[in-house]
Amino acid sequence: MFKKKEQSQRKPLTIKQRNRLNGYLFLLPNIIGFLVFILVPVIASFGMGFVEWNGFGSPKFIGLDNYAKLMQDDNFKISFINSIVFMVLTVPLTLFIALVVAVWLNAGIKFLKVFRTAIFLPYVTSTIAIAVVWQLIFNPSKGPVNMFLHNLGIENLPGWFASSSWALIAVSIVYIWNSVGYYMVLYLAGLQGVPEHLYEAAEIDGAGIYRKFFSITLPSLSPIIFFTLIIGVINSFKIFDLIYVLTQGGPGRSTQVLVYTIYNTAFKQFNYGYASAMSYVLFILILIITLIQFRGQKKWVNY
Amino acid sequence: MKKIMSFMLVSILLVSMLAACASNGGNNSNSGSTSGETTNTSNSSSTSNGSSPATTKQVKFTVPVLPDDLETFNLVNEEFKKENSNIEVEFIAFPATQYYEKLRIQLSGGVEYDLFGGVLDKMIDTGIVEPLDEYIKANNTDVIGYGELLDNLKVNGSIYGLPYRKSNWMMFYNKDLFDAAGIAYPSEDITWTEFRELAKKLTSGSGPDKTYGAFLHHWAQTWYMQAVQSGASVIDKDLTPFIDAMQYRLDLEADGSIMPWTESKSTGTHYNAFFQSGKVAMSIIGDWHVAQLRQAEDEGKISFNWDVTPVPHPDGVKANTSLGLPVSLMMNKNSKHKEEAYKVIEFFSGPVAAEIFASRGFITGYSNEDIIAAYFGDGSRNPANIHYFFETTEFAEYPMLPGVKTIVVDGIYVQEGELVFAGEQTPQEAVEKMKTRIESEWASIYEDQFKIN
Repeated sequence: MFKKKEQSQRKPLTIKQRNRLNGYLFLLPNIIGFLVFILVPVIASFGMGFVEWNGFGSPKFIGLDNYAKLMQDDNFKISFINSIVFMVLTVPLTLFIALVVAVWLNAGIKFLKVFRTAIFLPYVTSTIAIAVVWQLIFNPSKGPVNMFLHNLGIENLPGWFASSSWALIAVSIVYIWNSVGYYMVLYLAGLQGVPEHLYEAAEIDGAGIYRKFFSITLPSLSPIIFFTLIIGVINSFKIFDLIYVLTQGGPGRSTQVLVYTIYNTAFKQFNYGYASAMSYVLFILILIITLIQFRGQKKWVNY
Repeated sequence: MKKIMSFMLVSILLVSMLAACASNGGNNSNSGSTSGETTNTSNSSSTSNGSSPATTKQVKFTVPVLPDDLETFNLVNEEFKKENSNIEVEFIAFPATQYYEKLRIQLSGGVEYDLFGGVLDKMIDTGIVEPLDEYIKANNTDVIGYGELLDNLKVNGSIYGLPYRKSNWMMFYNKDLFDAAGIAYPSEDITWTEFRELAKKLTSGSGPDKTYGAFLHHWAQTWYMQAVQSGASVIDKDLTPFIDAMQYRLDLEADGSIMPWTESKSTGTHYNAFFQSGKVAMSIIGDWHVAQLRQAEDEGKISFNWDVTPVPHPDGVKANTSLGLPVSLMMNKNSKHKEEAYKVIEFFSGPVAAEIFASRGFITGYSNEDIIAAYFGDGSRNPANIHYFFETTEFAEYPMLPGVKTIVVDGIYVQEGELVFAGEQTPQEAVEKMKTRIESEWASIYEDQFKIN
């Protein structure tokens, strides 16, 4: 400390140096948080993927055994497939609905704020409350959804959370309803940035509403759509809380997704090494999908 | 000047962060070993060998226990203080659903609890639970009061904890509904076949006003109970008894006398609220339900009369054969004050503590006439036939080996059972899958390491 004091007295910092220093100082709290709570655990869990450890005693190094075991593990296979199915079910629909709603709200309808709030609200609502309400809505015998379907004359009513073929779909519906608001806000912000004169010019050229949407709105939004696509895919793989409160992975193992299985393996069965190996498979899966998306963006994203 | 200040601040921050990291890392690598001063044990003199009364050595223990038991432990602690002035015990509780997660993460992170409460199977694989056989011998502890329970709790031939209480299954029934239907109360010797007939007779109405003859909570224990009552275990190689057990639940659902699994699961129906609603005549659940119902009576939430009777039994099995789950106090083998720690275990699961636990409605591991009398109370409170709890012949709900509860019962049995009750596979198919899954998911990891008795 004294050394620093001497130094600073000897050679005053230039304005540029001082600005740079200030910049780093501002970043420091966040960087420390990132290092301590994210980077270190990420590296540690990579190492943990090669050991067998229940939290006590010394970890036993077993090389790639954990990864080899994953290939044979039904629980893991089922969760892996469920995670991918869940992603396919939710991401395109969420983004599509969010985009449609954003464009609709942007058209300057009445009560804009009311609708915007109503659509964003689920995103900031407690998961527990959401779970309780949707359990009632999806009740197979007394819930309003099945009552409605019954009145339409449909005979084989879906069992929703109580049926292994419907449970993942039911969770997806809740998830989409829950997260549309977030993406809608992002799209709304993006729509504000589309220059008005483009639309005016297009109108003069005789473009209709659809033409304007596909030739102006969509290309202008493409960087945001790209961003939301990546975030959406990552978020869908991170799904845990809804599953935890709605189905606990059931019925059977029909809604067991990767993060839920990782949680169970690490914190219910205390098999930290094996759970770390699973997390790394999830990480690599997300990485590959994201890289593919970055490759693909050149073809359709306009900056 | 400001610049220098900010420099200093930042460097202090960094240094303290690094220091924190370092000490943390040190603790982690030392977890399971005894180096480093313990956080919760303070002693003025050095070794734990000083049995001479002249050295008044003060030892302090912080003991995590399940939240339901905290209050009673504090009451027992008052008695303990009178006899042991040199040992100070403080009980703490963690939320029940995350109890073992938190306890194990703290222990592996360097918090060195000398003692902790819980079920053996969730802790024994840590390798830090001290076998108590030597201490029991050395201290001449009276273990007769624990009966056969202690032998049943042995893992690999050793006793790893003394049970301070246990939960037993019982049948709770709504007397008013029996009266209204003009049916005699269930006898203490009732078979599952008779139970099914009885449930049918007690079912009435439909839709929201339906009164169910019985309620079986969605836990796997409620359907696999009858297999275990006849001597099977959830990790047996031959699981055929469990086929009938699942079929039995299906039969009850087909009769319409219990709420179907799909409905109870998707509505989140809870045994406690549902029985209190007065819409179910018989409910099979654990002894803790007594405390829940008494509380409801105190709060004026229920007005009907209720009582308990032994759970139904399979044909050829003795009446009042139930399932039980003991909860124990265990010692950390890294404790530096093992003699004192054992004194705490001995006292808090022994006769004095048991009497206090019993008087507060817990079934205790240790039992004698005084304790039973304390459990009965003055007879002014429901249920009138509470004595059945102390007269059970019991099988362990599941073998108390690591992973059996989390992997086998809460995992495999729940999941395969769910598919049966959702009508997506037959009991035979379920049992086939259970057999292969137990082999690959549980036995391949734990079977060689841990054995009962």
